Amino acid sequence: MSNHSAHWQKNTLFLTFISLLLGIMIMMAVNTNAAAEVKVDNDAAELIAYIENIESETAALQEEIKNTRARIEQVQAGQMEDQALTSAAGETLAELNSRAGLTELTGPGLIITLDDNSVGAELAQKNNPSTYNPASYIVHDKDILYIVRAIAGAAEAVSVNEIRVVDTTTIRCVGTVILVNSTRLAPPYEIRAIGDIAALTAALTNSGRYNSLLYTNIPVKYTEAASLTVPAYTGAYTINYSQSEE
Amino acid sequence: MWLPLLGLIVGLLLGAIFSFSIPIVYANYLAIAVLAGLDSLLGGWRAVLEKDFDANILLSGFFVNAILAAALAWLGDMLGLDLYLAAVIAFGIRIFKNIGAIRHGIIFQHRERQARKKEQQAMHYLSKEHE
Repeated sequence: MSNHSAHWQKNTLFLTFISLLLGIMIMMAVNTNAAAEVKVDNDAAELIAYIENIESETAALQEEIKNTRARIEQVQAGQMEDQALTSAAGETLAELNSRAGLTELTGPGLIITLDDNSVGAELAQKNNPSTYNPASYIVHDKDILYIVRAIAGAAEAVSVNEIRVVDTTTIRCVGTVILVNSTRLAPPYEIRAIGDIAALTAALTNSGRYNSLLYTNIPVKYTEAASLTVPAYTGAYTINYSQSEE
Repeated sequence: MWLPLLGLIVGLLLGAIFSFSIPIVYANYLAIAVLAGLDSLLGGWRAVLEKDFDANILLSGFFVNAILAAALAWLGDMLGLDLYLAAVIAFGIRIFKNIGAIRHGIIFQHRERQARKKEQQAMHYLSKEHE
């Protein structure tokens, strides 16, 4: 009987041990399952919060759009009133830009060309080498400057070899090179002027320099053009010292 | 006989208190292992009732069945087949068979005890009559 009892106790202990193990395993499985469900729930909750955030953001943005539209309407209403003024100011600006030489201009006018008297220079060198003065046979910066100034009153726009002549333009020489707006020029020189052709011709032919050039046999001639183009001024207008009075 | 049940409850409590858990990916395998373990435990109880209990068979059955069932479920995942269902059905059937056998065993044991009691009482009366 005692032997049987000891055996029975041993069996019961084994069964108890297995039961204990199984109990822990069951709870592990249950916990894991619950954790999985919680995770899914968390994901869903996060997603819902995210969506709600986006929705509130969207609402805020829509409100902003509404406000902006209202402001646009307001500004447009104001613009209507200003528009007449603005267009007048724009026209004035375009006019001033064109006067300042900042735009390319087209119109009828005169093309005056000057060149060095190379033929006369060769002859003089050959025939009278003792009295030969090369300076008498070339075009000088002063020639161009005086002719430009002579026709300036009758011209609306003037250029020398594709260089626009403006208020601040300098025409001078450095050594044997003529500079206009600090750009070096080479003969032949072509002066273009837009304006009334008759007035331009009169201004040119009446000028002292034109006649003295003709007298010294420098090749100078002019042609009338129904339409010619004067390029825009590409330099800068720098104002460092002057201030306009209000 | 109440000690194993107490063990089960203590195990459940321990698991609940310490809230062990494993990575979610392995949840299926653990569930299958639990099913196999439950089958082994009920088989052990049945063996006790049928006086056929062997501790080695119980222990080896508990661990080997649990591991093999989990391995089968894993293989099913690898193959893209729901092989764990095979384990669920197999162990489910065995669990119900074991429960049936345990029920039978408990009833027979009870009847045996009653019969023995009556026999003892009858013997008691007989011996009294002899006196």
